[in-house]
Amino acid sequence: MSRLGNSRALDEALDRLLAGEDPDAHVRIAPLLQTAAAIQSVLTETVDPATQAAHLALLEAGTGAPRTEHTLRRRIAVVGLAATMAFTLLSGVAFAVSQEARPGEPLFGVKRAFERAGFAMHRGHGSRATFALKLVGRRLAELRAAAGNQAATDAARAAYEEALAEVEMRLLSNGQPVVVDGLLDDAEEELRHNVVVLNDLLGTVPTQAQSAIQRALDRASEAREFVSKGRARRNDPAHRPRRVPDRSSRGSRG
Amino acid sequence: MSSELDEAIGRARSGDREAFAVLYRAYAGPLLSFLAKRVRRRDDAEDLLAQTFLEAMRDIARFDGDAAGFRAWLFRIAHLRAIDLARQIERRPEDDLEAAGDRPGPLGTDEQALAALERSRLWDAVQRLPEEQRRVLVLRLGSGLTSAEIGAVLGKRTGAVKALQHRALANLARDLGVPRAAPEALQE
Repeated sequence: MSRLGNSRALDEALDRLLAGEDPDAHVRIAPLLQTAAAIQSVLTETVDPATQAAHLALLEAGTGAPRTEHTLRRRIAVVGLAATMAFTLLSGVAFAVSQEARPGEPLFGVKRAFERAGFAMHRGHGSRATFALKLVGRRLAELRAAAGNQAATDAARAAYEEALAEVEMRLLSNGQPVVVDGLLDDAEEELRHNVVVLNDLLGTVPTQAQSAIQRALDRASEAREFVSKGRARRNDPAHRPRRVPDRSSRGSRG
Repeated sequence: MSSELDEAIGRARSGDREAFAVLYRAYAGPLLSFLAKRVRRRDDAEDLLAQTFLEAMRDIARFDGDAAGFRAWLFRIAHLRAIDLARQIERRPEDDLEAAGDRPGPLGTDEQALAALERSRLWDAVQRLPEEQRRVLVLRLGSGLTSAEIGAVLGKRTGAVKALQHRALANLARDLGVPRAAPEALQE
């Protein structure tokens, strides 16, 4: 069999494999089919129920009346606003109940899934960075509330650190700011406030919670330093900032 | 299934919200399989998944085709969004830890531990493939796309996709030590 023939035979056998049928492959390509079957499971992902619920709620908030080509642009702006408003009014038991969930509780993951889905509704680096900063505030409040409970503190600390990483990613790219200086100022001030709060908390929590709070404090200090350095780089004439295009409003091609 | 999806696409173009939910349930898993291997963080992959469907919902009036064409179109959107995100994300040392979701979790029973180790071995082998070959394999085996659809998503000829998938599996088989066919069995 020629190389071209091998590729074609393999492709047809893979079609059968993926359809759940007997691949019935030529002996020459049987080892390749065997390999394909072995790695299929590591390449397949499933959407967890909480994320699926959040996404479906987001889509439900975003749908509306039929649109024609010439109204598409106007519709995009309207849908964006309607989705933002409707998202906060969503029914769905999972959404309503999950909002009160605290770190370590079963629905906390659902709550965070809805928050993550919320990023998709914010367009532009600045808007998403602002939202990420807001989530840092929420996570800090949860960490403060959890400080008496070991398991909850650990879960809250992990969620807090993820929120900090999200803010860093939203504010800078390759060490360069992708948002305006005003937002960087806000972020740095917010992170400074986080450090103060965590320092105070360290002096009041039970001994068993102190290492988690210390770790959160160290991470917050690191994040503040990261943002500060990023802003300094933009203001340093020796560094030429790299413009990162905001492609979030780019349309798809059908 | 295909006719149900064709119908759902038609209704979705008219703004039927339940129709889009049908499409989400049909395509979210395969899309996440693709996106989770394009970005380092699971959260980013799920974020991109949401963005893909929101964008598809916004632009579905521009789509004109059947379920097979819709799938390729959806994956094309996801592919472009993943490229955008890759340009924005700074690689930090912590990102390597963030990818721990791809590695085995805490070891449970012996059987679970062995299964996890095997998964890790297979995944590491996939990671060693050249990017183009890996991308084709993820779309083919993880997301279930045909070679023609993969070509439409990645902007390649179908023949080129078939060649890439053949090379990828041959490289993987060699890397994983899968026995080749005995010479006498190849006599034609």
